[in-house]
Amino acid sequence: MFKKMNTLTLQDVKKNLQSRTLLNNISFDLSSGSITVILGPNGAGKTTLLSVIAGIKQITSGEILWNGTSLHKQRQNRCVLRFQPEIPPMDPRLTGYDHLRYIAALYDTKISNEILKISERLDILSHLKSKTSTYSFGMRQKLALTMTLLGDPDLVLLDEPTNGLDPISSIIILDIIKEIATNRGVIFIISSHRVQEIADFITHFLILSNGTILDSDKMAGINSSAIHCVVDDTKCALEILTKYPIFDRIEVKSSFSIELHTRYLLALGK
Amino acid sequence: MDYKIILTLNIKSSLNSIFFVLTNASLLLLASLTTFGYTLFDVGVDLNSAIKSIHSITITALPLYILVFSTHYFEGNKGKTVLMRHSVASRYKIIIIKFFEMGFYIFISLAAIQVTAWTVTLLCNTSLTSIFIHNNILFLATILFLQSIITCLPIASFGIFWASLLRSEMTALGASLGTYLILDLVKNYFEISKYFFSAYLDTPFQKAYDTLNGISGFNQTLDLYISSFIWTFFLLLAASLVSKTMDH
Repeated sequence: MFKKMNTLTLQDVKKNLQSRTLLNNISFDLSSGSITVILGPNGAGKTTLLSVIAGIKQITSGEILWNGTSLHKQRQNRCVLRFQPEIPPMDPRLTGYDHLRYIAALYDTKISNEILKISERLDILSHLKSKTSTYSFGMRQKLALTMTLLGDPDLVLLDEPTNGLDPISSIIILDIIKEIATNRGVIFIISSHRVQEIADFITHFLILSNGTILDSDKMAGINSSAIHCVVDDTKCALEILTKYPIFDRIEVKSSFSIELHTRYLLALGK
Repeated sequence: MDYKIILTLNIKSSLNSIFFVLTNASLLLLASLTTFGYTLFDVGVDLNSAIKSIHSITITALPLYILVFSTHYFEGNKGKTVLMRHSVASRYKIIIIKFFEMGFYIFISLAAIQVTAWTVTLLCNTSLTSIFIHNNILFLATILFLQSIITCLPIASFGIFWASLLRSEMTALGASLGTYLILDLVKNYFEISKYFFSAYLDTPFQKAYDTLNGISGFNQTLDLYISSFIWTFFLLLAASLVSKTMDH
């Protein structure tokens, strides 16, 4: 299906910081073309997990393998990897185009037409000659994604890539991610809070809590499902539940029962 | 990795930096004030005045500026460095690029100091101009400039080492300035000046004074090269090893 099938394997990955356990026995396998979202509350370990896969933080124990060999110890393996942190690092004194040149130089690659097309789709092509100090947060996110996709990576890690973006820009970004994953077989791992927004684009999910995987599975085949709940006070229950974006729809069935519609029934079941 | 583009962009970024402009402007001001001081209070303005002025700034102010500049930019959230840390670039490459960037800073700073000092001296005593040009003083000035650059490289490596070891920019700055000043103060007392790189900051100037005054024989040039190379190499190696084992 793809030119080359790649696999990312995490085996019992553990990360401790002094006496605290940030990640505890994380294990999973991903293959080419998959788009995985990491879900979890603040402090669950989402960013730490992305950082250890990226090699920015070192793991305490376990292994991170790319096609069966160490992702970070093999230089040729590390070249396939890109990471976009939550707050994209940028030098305010350089232009957007300088940033693309910088990354292209780091990875020994060129700024391809495809990258320019992506920046055009993201509506930042005309701003590439301006210094990034003049960019809005959303524009920085868009430029960061363009930088991340430079040089045809095989594994892309994105930490909250749609943060600070308007809904249309978010959809364009997610469309680009889906296209690249489908056409080129790139493995995407995305950390996001905006579950509803990305639900249609992802193939796998992974739920983290206190550094431990609560659940992980494929999204394919999981359609919106309903949970019937008996409650004491429907008004109060509605007030609380509407705050959670994971529910597509909440229906009041009677004075003491409500129906929650969600695409994440499997995850909620845990 | 294309070092040329990265270095060019780093320099472009540095040149845009107010910090870079301010440090060099203050060095320039310091150089002109010191030279004026020497030319005003010295009995008879001569070429020694210019060298004295360059000498005093190079051994006192410049090392501190270099340490400040080499620890600057290394903090966790500074754009370029984070860009590189998040890339596949090995940490040692980041350190090498930083070292080249520091080389550029030292070049610009020394050029600012030396050109100012020589210009002020020649303006104060116009009759020196022909001596400067026709008596190989230009060659002497060039050698002095190049040797001064070499003696400053270990200082830059010292700053980079501390910046790699410590996460916070301010802690790295304090540690590098503190250890440098303490070692510089105690080097003679403990008779270790031969082994500490700051001792060789004087060497190019001693040679220049001797040449100007027609004395020959004093030659520590080889020691200067060996010491500078060894210190630079081992400090950068230590910085690479330290940053490789640290989480950022």
